[in-house]
Amino acid sequence: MNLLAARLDHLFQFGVLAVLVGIQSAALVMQYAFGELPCPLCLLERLAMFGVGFAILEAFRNGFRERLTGLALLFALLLLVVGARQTLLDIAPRPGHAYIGSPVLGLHMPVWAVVIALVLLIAYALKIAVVGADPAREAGPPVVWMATVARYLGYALLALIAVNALSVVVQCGFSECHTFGYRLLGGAAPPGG
Amino acid sequence: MMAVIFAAMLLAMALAELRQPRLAIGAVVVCLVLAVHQFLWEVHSDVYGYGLPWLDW
Repeated sequence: MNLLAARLDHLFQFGVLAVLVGIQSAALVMQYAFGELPCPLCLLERLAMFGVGFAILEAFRNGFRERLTGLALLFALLLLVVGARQTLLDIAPRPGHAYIGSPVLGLHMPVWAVVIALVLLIAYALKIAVVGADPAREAGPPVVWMATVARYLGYALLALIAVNALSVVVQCGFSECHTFGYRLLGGAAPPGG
Repeated sequence: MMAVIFAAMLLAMALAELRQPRLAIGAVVVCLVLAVHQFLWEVHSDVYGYGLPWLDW
């Protein structure tokens, strides 16, 4: 039973990691292929998802621990708070405020952030309720193929964070991030400004 | 500030890759604290504070 619970835990965390890498890749495609510049709160939402990914990768590298589950939950909570605040900011149409970017499947990015955060929190709650917070402690490492793929997903996540960090520097420089273009490329001024 | 926050996350990932888990966790905690501070700064308004008066329909 312990082994089954541990395998389910590994599979759960592996799945979350794969989905997060997919979401972050899609966000970069939206940014560079479709020219959708991320706002400051959008960047914080990306960061929160990276935080969840970091906690899962640490578990695959150094062993599954309850503290890492706690860290993942903290970042998921940050994602929910930022996404909810941004959704409430633009939910009532008024001058100068509208959802940023194009809708995907009918939902705008901040709403997707809320959905992703809720799915993460519910999934973690179900995982803890069903298999426990840390069933893998005594059951050994994950199966070889999963550990190998998780390592490559880790490289992908590291590359995504590096691209995002570089992109943030080009977009915002080292000051606030309310830009309408890439500041270091001379495009930070508002339209007509 | 946003650049510093992302740099902290990148540092945490790099340290984790270099098998320095304690330093990596330290960097990610710093990143989390800075992100919360940045969020509070972003949503604070001189006029409304942290309020959302446009939702009082």
